[in-house]
Amino acid sequence: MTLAHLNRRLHLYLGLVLVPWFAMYALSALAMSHRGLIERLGWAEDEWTPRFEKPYDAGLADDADHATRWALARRLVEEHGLECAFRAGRITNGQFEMLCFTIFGATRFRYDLSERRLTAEDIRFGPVRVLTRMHGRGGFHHERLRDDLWGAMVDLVNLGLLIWVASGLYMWWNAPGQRRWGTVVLIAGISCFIAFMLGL
Amino acid sequence: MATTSRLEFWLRRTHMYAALFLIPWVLMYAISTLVMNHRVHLGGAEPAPVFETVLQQRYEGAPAEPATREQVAARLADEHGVPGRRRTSRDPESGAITVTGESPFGLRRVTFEPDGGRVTVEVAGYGGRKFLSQLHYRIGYDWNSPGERAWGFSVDLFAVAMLFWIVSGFWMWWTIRRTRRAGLLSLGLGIVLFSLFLVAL
Repeated sequence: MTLAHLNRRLHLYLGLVLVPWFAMYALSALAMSHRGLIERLGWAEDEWTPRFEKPYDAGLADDADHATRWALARRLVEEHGLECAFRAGRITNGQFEMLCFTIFGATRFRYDLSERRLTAEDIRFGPVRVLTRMHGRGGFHHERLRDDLWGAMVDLVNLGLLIWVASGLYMWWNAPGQRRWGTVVLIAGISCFIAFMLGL
Repeated sequence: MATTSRLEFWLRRTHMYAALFLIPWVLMYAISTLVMNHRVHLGGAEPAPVFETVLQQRYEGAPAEPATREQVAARLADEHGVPGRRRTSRDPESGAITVTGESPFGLRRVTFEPDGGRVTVEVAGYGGRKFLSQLHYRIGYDWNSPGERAWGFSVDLFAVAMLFWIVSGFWMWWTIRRTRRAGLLSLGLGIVLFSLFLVAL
């Protein structure tokens, strides 16, 4: 097997493995770009539904630091038997808010510090929101291994994109009949990108 | 047969030339995503931008009352080169009007204080990480600026091209008989892995 052959196969099979990610990123980018249209079509209608409201003593102070708020968020997730990634918000106007979320839905807890009252609401995401939430997920700061694994997968997809570029350029350069027009198109793309960027 | 060959020829050419044209976008999205994905390894969030005053002077062309906040802001923005993504605010106590514009390179803020008839121009530059994330997050047509809309169009073009690469890639793959089995395995692996994440996350 020659290097050119190996390169072609790498380009092809890597692309096929990563098809679900490319499709997800492309469709969600279009959905985010045309948010107004998506809303007009009624494809972004997700509603919060009340789960409960109850007295609760969280022992949280107005000036609680991030670690304390994070610990409370974890406690709420565990106490309510939820399986999710979570995010601890700030304390605003005497209210602490945290979000426990999966790809398909979320539970939002709000704790009123002065009234010592906890409310929870649930939401089930529609397909468009599922796509855009997948698009936005990543990183290595999570409590759960599986969320960090998704972060590792995001790395792989983007390394895949870079390999795709490199292997594609190699294939193009090894097709001598395409070099002249390819160079023109490549330079046109770079010029357009710079012009668009400077226009921002 | 001839029609199929011609279609395949055009699919191959379009697949390649679209990719060559959009390489800068692919690189920008791939690199910016890697950087954002590793935020915790790069010292967390970028520090807040620090403004530096580049101009402070009496405002000769002070607007005649009653100019609206938006009218004053638009005039200030035009005169002092405030970029497309603009936000305007008015200080309720002093009545000072501030217009802040954001580009991937940084912020430019112009403040007009009606009491002293003074205008101040400040700038704050973005570092490399912020520059990349600014490019990455820019999307859509919500801003009333030709530059922002042109960029939004380029993002749409890129997303459509990705879908086209998938479809044309499928076609090209299927025409090479000896790659069908390994290709199906690759595709199946990707779908299974993706589905597992869907369920687990």
